Amino acid sequence: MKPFLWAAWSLVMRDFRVRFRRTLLGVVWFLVPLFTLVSMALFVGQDLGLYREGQSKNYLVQLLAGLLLWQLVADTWLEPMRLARRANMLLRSVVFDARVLLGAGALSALVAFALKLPVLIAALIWFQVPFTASISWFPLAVCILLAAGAAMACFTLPLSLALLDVRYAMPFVQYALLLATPVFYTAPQSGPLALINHINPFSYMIVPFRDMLTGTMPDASAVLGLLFLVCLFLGLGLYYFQAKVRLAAAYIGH
Amino acid sequence: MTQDCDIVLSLDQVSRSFPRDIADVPAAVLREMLWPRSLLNRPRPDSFFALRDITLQLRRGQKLGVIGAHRSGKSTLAGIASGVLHPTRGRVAARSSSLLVSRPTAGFKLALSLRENLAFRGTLAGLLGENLDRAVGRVLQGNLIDSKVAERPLGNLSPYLIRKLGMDLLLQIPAEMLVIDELVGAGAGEARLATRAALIERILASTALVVSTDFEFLKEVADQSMVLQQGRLYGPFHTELAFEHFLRQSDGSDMGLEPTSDLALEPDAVFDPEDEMGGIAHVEEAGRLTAFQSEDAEASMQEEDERFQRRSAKQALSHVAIAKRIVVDGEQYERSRLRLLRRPGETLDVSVDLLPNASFPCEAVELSLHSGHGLEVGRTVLMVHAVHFRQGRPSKIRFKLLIPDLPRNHYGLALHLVKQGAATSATGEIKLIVFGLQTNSPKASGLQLDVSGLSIENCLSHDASELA
Repeated sequence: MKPFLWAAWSLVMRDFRVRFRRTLLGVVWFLVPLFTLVSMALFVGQDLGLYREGQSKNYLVQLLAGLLLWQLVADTWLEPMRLARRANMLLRSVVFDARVLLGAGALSALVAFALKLPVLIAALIWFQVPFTASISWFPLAVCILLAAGAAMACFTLPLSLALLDVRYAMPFVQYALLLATPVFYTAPQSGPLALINHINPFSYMIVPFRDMLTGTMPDASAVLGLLFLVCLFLGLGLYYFQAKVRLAAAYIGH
Repeated sequence: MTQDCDIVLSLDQVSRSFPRDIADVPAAVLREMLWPRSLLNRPRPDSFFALRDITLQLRRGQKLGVIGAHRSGKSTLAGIASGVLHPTRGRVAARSSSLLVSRPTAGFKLALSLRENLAFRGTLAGLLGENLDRAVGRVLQGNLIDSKVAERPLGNLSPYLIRKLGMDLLLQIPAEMLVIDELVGAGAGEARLATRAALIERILASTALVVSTDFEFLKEVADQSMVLQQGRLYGPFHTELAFEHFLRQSDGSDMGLEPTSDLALEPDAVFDPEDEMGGIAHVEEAGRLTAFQSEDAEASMQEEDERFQRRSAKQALSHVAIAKRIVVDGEQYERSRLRLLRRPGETLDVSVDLLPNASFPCEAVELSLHSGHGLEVGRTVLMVHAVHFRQGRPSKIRFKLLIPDLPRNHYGLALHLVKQGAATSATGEIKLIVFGLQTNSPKASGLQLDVSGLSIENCLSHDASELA
């Protein structure tokens, strides 16, 4: 386990050093997408009916919490693909456990999450949102979200190595899923958007965990059920990953 | 049971197929990614086999060479044997840690320091803590690099040095089995020789599958080699015999030559080992290859196999002798090293040890010169009398060739033993040497080759006859 974790950590650190080598802001760039999305939502949200006048504080906290959790899943899902693309020759010519890429992706997402977390904590303190017992579910929530993102990466990483369409489509897929999850808006009770929310599995992860951060106690059985399903999905994903990643590696460079 | 424990790598009926054109057949790639492996067994019309039904066993301590032309599936085989690639069909069982020696700078980032790059590559290979520090330290120390230079970005160093450092690090990584994919040295000049020597030393101390077209290297590290052709593996043979087989089918492009500069071979000619080696040593191996080819034909009615058989049969009728050893100006000539450079007016003193494939009276010796573009640029026929070649008896032919004034290019010299009463045929030619010509001459000045001092000596009867 130690060599595996050390290899994953080395891959993440190496990637950070290359990415932020000639930047003034360095790792602060991790916060830029979050701030952009939050400011845009606040700027046009009232006109679009995302929140009413006088609810902006509450909306801001909910939005920050929701986006933070969403980005944790999205980064855990996308980072392994990005790392594989940057180190594709390693996959083709170095004997190593390819699951290191998944581990590195999860670590990288966790580092980005840790950098953004103070912003959320500051917002919670600033807007005097009380810290309740529901916060104790937070570590489990993070683990579930990491596992869900890693499971998605298990399926899409080999595909993205073999077929570039998957790589190109991934940002659009993620934006579509983000819009299909009630992060920017309150989930409607009926209509096509409600149906979309219902069939989107991420709604069942992001929304309860976001509410948990803002004081609502989650349903324990639902969380445990979710944990079981995510672990099952991750197991299937790892099986697929092990079976296909070295098949897909043959297409690197073609 | 003890024998089974000795096997460190076993490939059983391994195949790897690809869509014919990856860019045009994304559906085939998607199918491969989505379907379970059991459904990928049957080849589809839009796929071709990079490797087909490869069965191979590597025992502990064994060193096995694999020779193959460009796009014959060498790197795919090395990848599958080392575990970086998976086959679409068949089973791979490895009972030891493996190290793929290929692309020593893979994963290096020029923006990072030398130490960071080396440490990362070592970490990925499983080195940790003290072992990692020791390995990186040894590489730096061995190349006389101080800690200041080691902290500088890699982009400040020469590409040759970077490759050598990468190679040196690879050689520090512990592994029971080595899989070498074409890489036989790194660096420039003496440094390249040093890494080559270190690699040889490492190979000799472990189990190794050496995929290479460097004959000298293969001869040094592997007694036995296999020939990879169009995804199929033939052998094992003695390395020399395997290389002869490879040369017969290769167009020379893998050995640093222009594809057409290796003269006197039909581009699609494949030799028949029984024909080449009839009645002498290696008959057993030759028989094995022939048997394999016959089995192969029965097993598969694929068009490519039929073509392979037809070529073999055609070749069996044409070759009269094999050149076993060639000495040019007192030094042994190796085809795998293109190092002969001459100027017009100089002479090449060529001595060839021939092994006749059949007994026949020889009427004439014909020498022809082909340019790198494959065109014949010169020819001469030297009549001989009372020379009788006997099957399996080595003979020596010696002559001096005056280098003609021809344009700058690579040229190949071929020899043809004309049987008494038989018509001259291009298929009977034996390629001898390839040399580079250093000249400013814009075009050919003459087509008649100036050859002197021809002698043919039968080594057993000592019946030498001066003929010219």
